[in-house]
Amino acid sequence: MNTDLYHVSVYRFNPEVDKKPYMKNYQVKASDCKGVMVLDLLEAIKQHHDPTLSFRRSCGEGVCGSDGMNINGKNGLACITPLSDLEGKVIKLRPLLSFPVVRDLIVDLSQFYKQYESVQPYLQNDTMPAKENVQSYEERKVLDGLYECILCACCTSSCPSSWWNMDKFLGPSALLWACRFIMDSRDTETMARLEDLQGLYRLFRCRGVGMCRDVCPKGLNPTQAIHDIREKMLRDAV
Amino acid sequence: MSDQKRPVYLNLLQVKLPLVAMVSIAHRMSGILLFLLLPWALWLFHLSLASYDDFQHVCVLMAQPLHKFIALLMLASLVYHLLSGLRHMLLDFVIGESKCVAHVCAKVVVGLSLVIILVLGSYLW
Repeated sequence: MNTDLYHVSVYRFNPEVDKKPYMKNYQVKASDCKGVMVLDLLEAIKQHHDPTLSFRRSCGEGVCGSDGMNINGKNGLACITPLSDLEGKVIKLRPLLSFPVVRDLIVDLSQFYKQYESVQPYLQNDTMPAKENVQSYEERKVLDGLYECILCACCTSSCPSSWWNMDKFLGPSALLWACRFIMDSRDTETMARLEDLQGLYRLFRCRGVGMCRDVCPKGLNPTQAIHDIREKMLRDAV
Repeated sequence: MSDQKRPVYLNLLQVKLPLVAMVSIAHRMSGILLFLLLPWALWLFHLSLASYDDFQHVCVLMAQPLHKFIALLMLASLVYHLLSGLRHMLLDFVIGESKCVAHVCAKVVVGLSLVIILVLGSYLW
């Protein structure tokens, strides 16, 4: 989208004033945007049109994962989504799907963090060496594509299995983190981690829809990670 | 603050679904359709085996556009469900996990299903 004027429709909800959410339209001059990303557009709205507009932001370069939101129907990070990539006459900005909205584009991620916490996302080693925990090049390479997750919640928010079973299914992000530690050669709690994922919901509610893989702003593949965990379970069982 | 004051945004009509997701969701829908149409198929099958006259009656019924349409709907669901199911089985063998290959697989499922359904449709009519 290359234009002098951006037509933007933003999801608004202030719990102290509004009974229900609504979409508010803005027309933003391209010259008011200090950059070329969706986040710059939001900053321009906040600065020139409506200072009450609320959204999270921090690093502004796709590292902190604060500004995950639904941009024209697809989850992504506002700070690394170029305005030029957006199609349609109106840019529609809504909060992440399926999470309770605190205000405007800010959602409550408590449940998401609970899921993350439940996979024990830290190294557990009962024979921790005194000096250093050596890992070969090949063992370290296995972790590529697993450790880069920034917890922006774009994937979990896009996952249909998470929509209906947020409290039981761990979701793509937490499972990607689970896979990261299951595959780590230095972790000695692999069996306990796999045991923890047994059951109908925690891992196996994933139906391979692939929305997580499609929206991940870091280009990660939680679908693959979930399959890798299942494969490891199978190999360890036979 | 209570969750009652926190609406959840989940408007499925506004969600942009990639082809892979649509193929996957349509796989389930075709399964439901197959299940719902099964009594109709069993009824016709039962009728066709009852007697010669009933078999002739089934032939007459199947010549009607409504029953032809239902038959085509069922065959289409079966073809799509089968091909999409094979795609899921390939995924279990870790084939088509990457984003690029998954999109190609989804396109193949849709394309192949359309061709087979068209052939079946022309045969029925």
